[in-house]
Parts: sequence; structure tokens; C-alpha cells
Amino acid sequence: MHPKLAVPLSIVGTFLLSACAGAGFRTASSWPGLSSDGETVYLAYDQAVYAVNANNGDLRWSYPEEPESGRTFYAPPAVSEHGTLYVGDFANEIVALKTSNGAVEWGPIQLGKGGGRIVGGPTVAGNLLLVPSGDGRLYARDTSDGSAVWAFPPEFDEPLEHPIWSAPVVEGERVFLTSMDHNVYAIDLFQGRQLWIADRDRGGAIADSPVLADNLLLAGTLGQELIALDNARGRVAWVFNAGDWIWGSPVVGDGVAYFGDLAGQLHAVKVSNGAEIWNVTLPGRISASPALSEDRIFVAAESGTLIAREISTNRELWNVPLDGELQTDPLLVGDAVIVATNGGEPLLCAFDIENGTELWSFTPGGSEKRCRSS
Amino acid sequence: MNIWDSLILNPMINALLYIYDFLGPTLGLAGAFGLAIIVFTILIRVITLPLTYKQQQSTQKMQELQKDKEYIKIQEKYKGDRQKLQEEQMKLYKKLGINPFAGCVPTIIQLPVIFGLYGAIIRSLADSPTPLLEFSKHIYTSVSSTIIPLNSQFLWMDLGQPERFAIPALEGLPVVGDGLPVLAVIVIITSYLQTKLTTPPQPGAQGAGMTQMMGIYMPLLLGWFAYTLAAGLALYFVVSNVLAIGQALLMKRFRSEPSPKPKKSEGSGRAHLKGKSDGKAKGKKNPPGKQARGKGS
Repeated sequence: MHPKLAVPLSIVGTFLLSACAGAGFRTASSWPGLSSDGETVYLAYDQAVYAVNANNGDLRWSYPEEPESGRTFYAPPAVSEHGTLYVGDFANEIVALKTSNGAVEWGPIQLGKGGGRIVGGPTVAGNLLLVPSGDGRLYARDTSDGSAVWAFPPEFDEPLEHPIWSAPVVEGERVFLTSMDHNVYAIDLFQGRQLWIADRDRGGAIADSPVLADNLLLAGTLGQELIALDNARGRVAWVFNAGDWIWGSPVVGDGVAYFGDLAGQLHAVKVSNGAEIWNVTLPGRISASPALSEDRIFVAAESGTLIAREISTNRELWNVPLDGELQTDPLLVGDAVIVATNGGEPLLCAFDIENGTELWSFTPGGSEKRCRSS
Repeated sequence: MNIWDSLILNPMINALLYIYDFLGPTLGLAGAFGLAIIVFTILIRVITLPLTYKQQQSTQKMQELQKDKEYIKIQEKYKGDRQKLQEEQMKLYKKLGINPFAGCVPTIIQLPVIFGLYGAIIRSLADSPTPLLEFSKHIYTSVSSTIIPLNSQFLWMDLGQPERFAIPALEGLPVVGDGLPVLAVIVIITSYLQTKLTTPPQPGAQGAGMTQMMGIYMPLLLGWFAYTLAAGLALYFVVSNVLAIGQALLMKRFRSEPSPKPKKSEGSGRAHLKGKSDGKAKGKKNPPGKQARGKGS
């Protein structure tokens, strides 16, 4: 290199590469995590967890009082019937809060040796709290004090090859777990023993939770497939090939599974045999799971549009364009469909499921901005 | 999709993915992403070989020029008149068929490669939902989606994180507690050697100072990148440097071998200038330094 040119080039190079590094290409992040107990909507996003009145969007409380450096929340919080909210963060910690006022019941407790992050929400099963972690383990903790009960795989063993980003699903004494390591596991709820691993060739990684329907376990994969497994042994019942990655979980109603893919197609598939009933292309990729309410299905397109469709007629009822991206699963609370935007404002928007009328919105710190984007 | 993504980033990402798919899932090799970076770097080196060859040729010509009698004479004659000195130098370059900036072009071409590769590595090793969804926009449909997510482990490194070689005995100590930055040190050493081998010496105190500064500044800069950025990029630097050093040494040997009387080369002149400059010099009636023709460097 000619020295006269090398100096300015390397300065420019330093600047550009530093800019690239600082631009957050590798910044770990996700989209808002949303859950509800019917009265309050719990939103985990960035450096805080918000409890918002489900009727009017008023903030009830937030946690922590002051943002803590290096502590971010994206996993949908889990609510117990005893009034406790369990929240995981990207520092691989879990904390229990009182749903009434956000006071800490216990924690935060570090899971594993650190280095992981909690992306999928925890699941409450009796007095066990099941926390999936990005470090490749599922941790079972006592709901009363967060003490360790078991881990899958056990902590003396190697973790799964890739992270777990999905909340586990519990049926009876079995836990069903999907993982980015491409596998589906059935685990004993009380001891954490593996009951079976899905008997299939290496397919795509699984980013979201499985869904139980008619003794089948349905899961969408990044290998562009919706797979159905016999939930007793993990054998493949059928495979449906979509056109692109399936990120979100399907929703099931009347023997039909509905799910979107990253090509923007919404599919309706028979649970019994995987035959496609219909599909429709929507504007923008679909990474969130749809929400189902009787004859209506609500789909969040990543481009920022919330779409309501009538299933029986397969026609669109209404749509609302929003500011920001939509990757969070829409949530149905009473007569409202609630969505959380990623990078937009307001952060939370509630719409009437009948006609898409805006009911309320929530932005941390307050904002006069309306949900519908022009 | 912007031009940068379409022309640089996406082809790089997908080339890495194809190689990874072949080495990892198909051949079953461990550390496939690290191997993919190594193979990819070799491919980039092969593709840019004509350019780097030209760059090194130019470097050698510039090195040989320093010993040219006419060149030395010009330096002495116009020592006090910088503008005139430059004019005369340029005339001499033209006469000898040397483009003093020819060596810069390959470097400029390599910059997008470095930036593109860095972007490709960082995106390929997405480790949380938002970056992975973003990454999916860059993947060609012909790439098998079952290879996602990629395994970022290579030897002791997580290729998406700054490299540190953990030594239990050092745990808890400041600075080195997280491990030693082995790759960053190798990057500094190999960059120093590469800069030494490929940077032509500059005439005069200012030029020599600049060359000396480059010899220190560039390795430290790349070492800093290797220390702070993803280990995958540091791996690229090391492989690229080693290949460049090997290439420079080979070229040096290749150029010195045909020389019939290498011992008499000390203080010889323009006869060191080969290729185009040789031809031009031969055509001149009485080119300066003619007496040194045929003597190797």
C-alpha cells in the first residue's frame, strides 16, 4: 500500500468499521414480549416491564424503578393465578414481581453460569416455573422462591447445541420443548428427564413454541415446514411445506391450524392430515403467531399492518397500518386486540376486534400520537 | 435492498453459507464456519491475485527505483525545491513505466471486501431473534434453510465475539482475566510482516518517516480491530496476512532467481526494474543506470 494513501484509508477504515461495530449488527435484541391476566397487560420491552390497564391503557407500574445498564427484557412475562409475574431478561436472570404493584417477590436470580439470555417466556406449571434459556437449557425453578429443581439438559451435562427461544408447553406431567437446535423434546415435568426426542431428519430450527391439538404437536420451523408429531412418542405424523421460514406458532381452531410465513403467506391447514385448505398473501412478512377469535383471525404483518380477516369467507375485515414493525403476537383481551410495535410509537395499541377502532394506546413517558399511521 | 447489499454483502453472506453448508452439514467437519471463513479468504485472495500481483510488482519496482542512479541524482539535485522534485520524479516514473499509485488500487478494492466480510460474519452469526430475522432477508432461496442457525464455534473461539483464549490461572486478573487475545497478537505480528514486505521505502526523511509510521500504525490498527471486533474478522486478517506474506516471499524469490549475478547487485541501478519498465528502458538511447542492467536485486 502506498503510505500516503494508507494513512487516510486506514483512518476511514477505522471510522467505518467502528461505525459498523457500533451500529449494533450484533446487538442482542428482540421484540416486545406481551402477556395478560385479563385485567392488566404486561409488556416487557428494552429496559423495563410495564403493567398497563387493559381497559384504558393507563400505566399501573413499571419495573425496575430506574433502567439498569445491561439489563433488557423481551420475553413475554408469565402470570400465575396467585398474582405473581415472572419475568426473564437478556442477562439470563429471572425475577418474580407482585402483579398488584410490581414489588419484587424474589430475585433477580441468575440462571446457569451466565452468558445466555431469556427470549421465550417462562411457563408456570403448578409450583414449577419453567424458564427456557438462550444458554441451551430449560430451567425448572420453584415458583415460591426461585430455587433450582432441575435443568434440562442437567447442568453437569452439555447444553443443547443452540439456544432455546420458545416457551415450553405443559400437558399433564409432560413438558414439550422446541429448540433452535432443530429438535422437539418431551420432558418429564417433575424430574426433567427426557421422555423422547422427535424422530425426524434434521429439519429447520424451531424458534417458537409448539401447539397441542388432537394428540398432535404442531411446530413451525425455519426449514419452511409445519411439522405435526404424535405427542406420545414424537413420531412425525405429517409435514406441510410452506414457501418460507415459519417463525411463529400456529393457532388452532375447529381442527384447522393457521400460521404465517416470512413470504407473507397466511396458511390454513387441516390438523388431521396437513392438507392445505387455503392460503392468502398478505402485505409483508409474517413472523408473529396469529390470534383467533371465533370466525376472525388477526395477523400482524412485520411491515407494521394489523389485519383482521373473516375465516368463513376468507376476506379482509379491516386493517390498521402502524408505526414500527410488528413481530409480537397479537393478544386478545376482552373485545380488544392488542399489539406491541417494535421501534414505533405508540408502543402498545388496542383496537376493537369488530371494526379496528382504536380503543387506547400506551407509550412510556406518554405521547399524543395516534396508533394508525398515515 | 440497496446496492451495497446486492453487490457486496449478500454474495459474501451466501458464499459463506454455501461453503459452510458443504463443510459442516455435508462433510460433517467441526468448526465449519471458521473453515468457511478460511476457504472464503483463500478464494478472495485467488480472485484478487492479479491485483495484488500488480500491487507487489509496483512495490518492488518502487523499491528498486530507490537505488536508481538517476533517481538518487534527482533527489539530491532538487532537495530544496519540492515542487520541482515531484515534477522530475513524475517524469522519471513516466519514463520507466511506473505508476506510483498502482499499488493503491488493490488496497482500495480490498476495503469493501473487509467491510463486506465483517458485515457478513456479524450477520451470519445472529444470536437473538431480531438480528436473525434481519439476516433472513439476505439469504438466497437456494441456500438450505436447515443450516440456520450457524454454529459459531471454531477451536476455542466464538467467531461472533472478540477472541480470548481463556487461561484458568489468569481468571480474576485485570485485563487478561477474560483470557489472552491470541489472535489479535498474531494479527499484529503478521500485519507487521506483511506491511514490511509490501510497503515500498519512501525517499527522503519525510517519506521514510511515513513508511515507518505505517509499519507500526497499520498492524496496531488491525490488532485493535481483532481485539475489539468479532473473532471471525480477526481470523480473516490472519489468513489474509499469511497468504499475502507467502505471496510476497514467493514473488521476491521468483524475481530474484533469474538474476545471473546477484552478488553484484549492490548499488545497481534501474536494471532492477523489470517488465514494462525494462522494455522502456531498453528502448532509450542512453538511459541512466544502463550499466547496471542484468544485475539482480
